[in-house]
Amino acid sequence: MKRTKLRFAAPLAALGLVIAACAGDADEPAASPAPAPAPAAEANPWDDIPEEDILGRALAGAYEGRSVSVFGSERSEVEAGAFNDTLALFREATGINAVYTGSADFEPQLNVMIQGNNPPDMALIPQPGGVRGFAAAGSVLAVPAAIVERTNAQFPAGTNDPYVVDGSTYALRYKTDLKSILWYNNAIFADNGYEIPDSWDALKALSATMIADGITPWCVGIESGGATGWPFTDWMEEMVLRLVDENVYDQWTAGDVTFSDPRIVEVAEEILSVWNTPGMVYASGGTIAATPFGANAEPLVNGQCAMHRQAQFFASFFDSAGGTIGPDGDVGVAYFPAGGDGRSPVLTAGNSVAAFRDAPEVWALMTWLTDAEGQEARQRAQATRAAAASGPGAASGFMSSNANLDPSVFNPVERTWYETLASASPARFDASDLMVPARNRAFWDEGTAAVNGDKSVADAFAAIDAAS
Amino acid sequence: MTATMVERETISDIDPGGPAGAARRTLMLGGGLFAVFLVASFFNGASDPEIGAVTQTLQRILAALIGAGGILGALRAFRSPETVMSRRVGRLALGLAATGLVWWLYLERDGVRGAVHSVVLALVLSSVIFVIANRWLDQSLRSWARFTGISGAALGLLLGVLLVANDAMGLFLGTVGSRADRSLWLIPVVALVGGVFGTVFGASEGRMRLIVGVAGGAGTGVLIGAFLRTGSLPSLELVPLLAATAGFAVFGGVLAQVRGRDLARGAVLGGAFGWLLGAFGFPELGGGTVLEAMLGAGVLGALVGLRMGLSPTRDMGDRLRLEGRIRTIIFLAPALTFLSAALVVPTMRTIYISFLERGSDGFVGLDNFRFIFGQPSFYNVSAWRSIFGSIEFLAFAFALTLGLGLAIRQRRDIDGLVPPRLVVATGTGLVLLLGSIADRNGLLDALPVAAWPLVSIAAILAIVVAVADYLRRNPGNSGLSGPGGGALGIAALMFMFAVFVQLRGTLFNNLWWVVLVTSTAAGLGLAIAALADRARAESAAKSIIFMPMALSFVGAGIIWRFMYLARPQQDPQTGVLNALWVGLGNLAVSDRAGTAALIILAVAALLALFALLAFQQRSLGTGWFAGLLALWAAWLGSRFLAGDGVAGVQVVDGEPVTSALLFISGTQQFGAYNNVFIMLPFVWVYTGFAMVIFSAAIKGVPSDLLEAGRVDGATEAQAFWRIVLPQIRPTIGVVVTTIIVVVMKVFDIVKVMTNGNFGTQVLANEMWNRAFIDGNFGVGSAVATILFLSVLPVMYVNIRRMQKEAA
Repeated sequence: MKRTKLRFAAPLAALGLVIAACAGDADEPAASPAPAPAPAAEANPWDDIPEEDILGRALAGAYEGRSVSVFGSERSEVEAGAFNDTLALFREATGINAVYTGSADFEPQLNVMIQGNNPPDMALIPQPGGVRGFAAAGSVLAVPAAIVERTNAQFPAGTNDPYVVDGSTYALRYKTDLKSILWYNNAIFADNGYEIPDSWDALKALSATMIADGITPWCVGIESGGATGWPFTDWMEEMVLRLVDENVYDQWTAGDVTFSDPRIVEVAEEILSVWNTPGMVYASGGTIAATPFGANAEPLVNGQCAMHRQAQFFASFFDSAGGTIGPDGDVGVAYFPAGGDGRSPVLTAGNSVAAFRDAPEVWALMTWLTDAEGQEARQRAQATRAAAASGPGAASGFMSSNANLDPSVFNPVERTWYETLASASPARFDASDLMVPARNRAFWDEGTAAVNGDKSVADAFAAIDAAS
Repeated sequence: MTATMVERETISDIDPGGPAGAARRTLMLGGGLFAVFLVASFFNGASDPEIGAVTQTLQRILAALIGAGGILGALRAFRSPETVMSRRVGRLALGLAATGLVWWLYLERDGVRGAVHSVVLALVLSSVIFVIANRWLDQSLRSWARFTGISGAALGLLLGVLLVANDAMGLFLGTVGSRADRSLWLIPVVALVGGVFGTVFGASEGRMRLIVGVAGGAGTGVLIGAFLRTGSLPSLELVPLLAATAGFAVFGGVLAQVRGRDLARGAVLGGAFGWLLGAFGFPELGGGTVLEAMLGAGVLGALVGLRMGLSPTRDMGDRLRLEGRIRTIIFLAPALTFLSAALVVPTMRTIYISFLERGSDGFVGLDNFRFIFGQPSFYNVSAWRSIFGSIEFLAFAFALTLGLGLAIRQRRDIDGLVPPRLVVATGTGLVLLLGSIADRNGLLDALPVAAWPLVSIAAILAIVVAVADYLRRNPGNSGLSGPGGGALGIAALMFMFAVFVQLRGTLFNNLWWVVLVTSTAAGLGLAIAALADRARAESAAKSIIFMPMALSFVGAGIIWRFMYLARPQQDPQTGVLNALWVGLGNLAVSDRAGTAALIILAVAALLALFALLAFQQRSLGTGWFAGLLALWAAWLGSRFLAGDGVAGVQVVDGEPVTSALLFISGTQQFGAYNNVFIMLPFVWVYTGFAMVIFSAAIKGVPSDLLEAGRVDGATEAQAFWRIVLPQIRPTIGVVVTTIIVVVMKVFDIVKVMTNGNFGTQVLANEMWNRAFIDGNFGVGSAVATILFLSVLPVMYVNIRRMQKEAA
């Protein structure tokens, strides 16, 4: 008897451990906030409430003590800090405890969380293509119609169209970036008497003049870790809007015009022929493909190059490079020249809020964030933080296209961007972000190969078509 | 005897007045409190919140008391004179203190509470299972009928749970199905039926046994069929049912006959399996009636019962064997459970998902695999023809011919023989060499496209066959152990480059990684281990080489990324390699170029002198090495004097032009070789690993073998190649397969250094991108499956070798 008992001691302990390990795994998800709808015991907290009242009730303290988790890719002191400040204001007003987590590996992480049935309550998703993918898979929740209406009334028409699948809106625009901006070194332009060109051809002519004068015209760098290549796709989009037109742009975005289409290939070849002109580009990483996109700020401030094309959020990079922005600062701002056919297209991008848990506190936060109040709060908080980081008057890096904002929350340069966004026509959303993720990534990767000269444009773009 | 008994006896022997006795009283008090605790915690949370709060507080106090008591007891026990007993009591008291602490945490932290619950539940459950299993197995030797009875009851319990599990779950979740009327009561009933059947069956003999088996089996089957879930009711189809039963009966019978077993039993078992397939596997489930289910399960049960009744009652020897076998299974069960939960199930699931579409919804067959192989970035063989005219192929042919020629010479030096097989191989090598030169210069364009490649492959195969045959006949003095063998090694390397520079894509990158990194890391590791063996400062040298092993691949990748960094020509180069490269050039065009040239030339002269001395002492390897270095230094010095630039700086039209090397961030300068630069960090890390293991193996070679060799006049080189190497062959196998498996899965280095850009993608990173960035789990799983399948053969070889060694 004694012997047999001992014989079983080892496996017993081992099985105990195994079961414990398995049981522990099974326990953990249960311990974290359940993604399922609110428990039945709470007598469906929000089914009876008219959707448009949610924010009002939240402000009246109806959901005090509840929490909302928000997941996003913003991580910098200024951006994530400002978002946390905003959430703190919301907590003060409603008693709802919203917690933000930022990750450098946002996309894969979010995919893993969703696949693991453990999504955040809310996410700040930059790519509409991603939102639509989640919507098709049924993992993201459709925003209640009343909230969509309320938000749409405050934004330029069509702002939330990229997030619509089968008539339901799955996310709401939170931040809007203005991409069609030409940043230039004020001193170089003033000393040499250069004029801001008003068309692509004038821009090319100016670049040639600069090279002749011994000045490197452009700063270009497209490295961005796992997203290397996106600044090139931005250039592509700008130039398709300018050199072709917005209808082709839309078809191209939707996949009806392929990358191998001669019009698209021609645009890429035009861009690359400019970039590959000797003396044209200053790339601090050795090559364009090896230069981090953020590393373009410092040389532009220092005058190692004269011009740079990047979205308005790039202002914060100049701030940290020690450059001031504006007519009297180091770096001037202008509209990226049009194609020269009378149209003045504007390229935009931005991120959106999407919900993964159906609860009133989540919808209340979503409504508040996209409302004028939440947008102003974010801009104020971010401006304060930017000023603390790089001196008074620094551009915040945040931008909104909500029409109800008090313009005084912006500094003078930002105000011009705000007005451009409000009046832009034709305005188009970043094409690569609208594509399905696989096509987007192929655009980044193959675009990088083309920029690098590893492949011809035709080969690279054919590969993008094959990839999705 | 056993430890527990010793403990029990001796604890009671403790002097009640002594410190250990006090500790014992403390222990008892603690045990009492513990019991109170369990009761208190039972009420905790189960009743209304106020009582919950009271018990919570009570529990906190008790936990603190237990913890304090444990600590106190431990202190007293350890302070008393050191005896085995006091130490043991002290340890027990410490355990009590730990229990108090865990209990406190349990009350304070949700995470701890969950963990404690699972551990306690798991321990209790597994104890119960094991105690019952133990009792049950004991019965197999004492009373066979009781054993079979318990077995039947246990099986019945299991069946009963299976039968109602879904319903019970449905009751629990509030989603009761269409047949909610049958419920938990079914479990004891089926268990009882099973138990009765088992007991009667175990006690009956001969013909009675057959009858009981068939009747009992059929009865149980009918019972189960009657209560089968609606969704599992089969709609029987006579023809396939009978065909499957008959077919498998014949198959089972034949199989039994072949294996020398009883034909009838095999046929019955096969028939039962066929019936199961025909009744429940083939038809659509859920469309049938209860009658059909009863028929299907009843006949199945009867067949199984018949098979059981056919085998004679177990004698004592059978029972002993059975008991041993079951104990083995139970002993292995935890490990098997863990393995299947953590390894087998995820693997199977991944393979399954690879056949589903992106969101794992619909079945798409092999589409994911077709898609991924259709991607030129994954699999691109369009340039295959260029392999045979590439510069690498030419170098391969040259090194091959040279190596074979050197081997012939060495063989002639040894025993004056000129082996004909080597001559033929060398001649074929010459053909390869001349052919590749002709192909490079376009002279073979007139031939059909595949002509020269076919000739090349045939020639290479012929050489391999000839050399292998030669080696088999001349295992000793092959002449391949010297410089000839080295040249052949280089030839193999060149052939590999020729292939992988032309065949592009993720798949070939991975293969390239496997071949190059494995051979280089293992080769370097072996060389260093052999050379450092018993040398001065051996341990210091080995420590330094082993050091990178402590780095993560991410760290190594970042370090090497900085080494390779390139900056624009205006800026100072901050990457080490480019700083050297451009610095050398800058030195050559600076006003100190003359002085530098003088120094370099002086070094060249010294090296040349050294080489001369080495040649005089007939140490050819050192001589060649130093001579080549001297030549290179002389060339460098002359370039310095010429003044038109060197390395990273070239003088164009009187102006120095700087250009950095783009090692990894592009393919303009090094083509597909940027892959090799990414592999270097891996080699850097894993050489240390290979070296340490080889070093241990070399030290394990019996010294009397080596001494015997040396007495017989073997040189150091001969001792290594003929004595050490054969001795450590198994170790080489282990190291190589280990590195292969690690390299196959390479992910971090590539992710950090290029993220797969510029044609450096590998399978693991591709899988990550497809699954987690694109959100396409189908294609991602397909890539994972490809990775898994390619690791399998290596694992198979590894396991086979281990088994062979064990045997």
